[in-house]
Amino acid sequence: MGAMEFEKIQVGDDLPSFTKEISQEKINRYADASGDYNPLHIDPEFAQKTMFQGTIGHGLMTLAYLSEMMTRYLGEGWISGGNMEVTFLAPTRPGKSYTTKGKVVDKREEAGARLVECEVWCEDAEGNKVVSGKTVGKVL
Amino acid sequence: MAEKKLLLYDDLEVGKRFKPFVYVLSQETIRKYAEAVEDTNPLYLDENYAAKSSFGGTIGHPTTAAIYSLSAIMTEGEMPPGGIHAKQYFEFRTPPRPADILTTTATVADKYIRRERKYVVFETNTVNQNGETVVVGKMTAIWPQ
Repeated sequence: MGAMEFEKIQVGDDLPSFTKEISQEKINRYADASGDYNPLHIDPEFAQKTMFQGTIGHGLMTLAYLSEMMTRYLGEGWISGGNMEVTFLAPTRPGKSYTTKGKVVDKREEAGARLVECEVWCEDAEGNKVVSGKTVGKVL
Repeated sequence: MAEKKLLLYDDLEVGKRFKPFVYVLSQETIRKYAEAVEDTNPLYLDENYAAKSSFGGTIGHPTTAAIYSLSAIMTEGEMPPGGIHAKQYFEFRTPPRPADILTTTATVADKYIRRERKYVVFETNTVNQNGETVVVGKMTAIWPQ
């Protein structure tokens, strides 16, 4: 996992993309790992009666996928010095797959740091975005 | 042990500062989290690998902030069931490490009703035992009650 060289980065570059499959078992495991036992995620009977009509994945689990993509892209420059702002557009569902994607939209030097700004999102198999937002990370 | 009350929308005043949440991050939690999000980067899990990195040892995922940020808004009451996460901002300053004592303070930054839905915005700030800021967060949630 090497950091990208700043000079080689171009606006329009694609970020490393990957796909995760969601299952109720994975949602339950995330609930245990994160301490978020909101029944919307883990109680099918409760979730059925909500507007979602079924359990959904935690937004912060999807956000972790976006962070993983940024870590793959920038390494330490993301881990110590990255920031992200995302909007959750639609829930993730057990039994579906979601792909993280991103594009470089800007690169700049600011206060002595070399920064890369990206648009990031996760989409389902039909190309519908479930989360989207912006990240800024350092290139070290 | 007394049962925690539900934190209702009307109970949340802008400017309210929650009692700080103290959390000790263990390597076991880092491992559980890595498995749950399916990100097994050796920086998080392999002591030998991580020792040779610039971090000098294993670290937690930046987004383990999810664990302590959420708990920090529940130190005085439970979130009513069915809350929906609308937006999230995180700024990662320094990674959390195993055995870190992380103190997170949450405040209610804003609240509003839009299209008949109740929104609450929380700001969180997490520092480690050395007083270093680990992560700053801002969460917008649709509050169910």
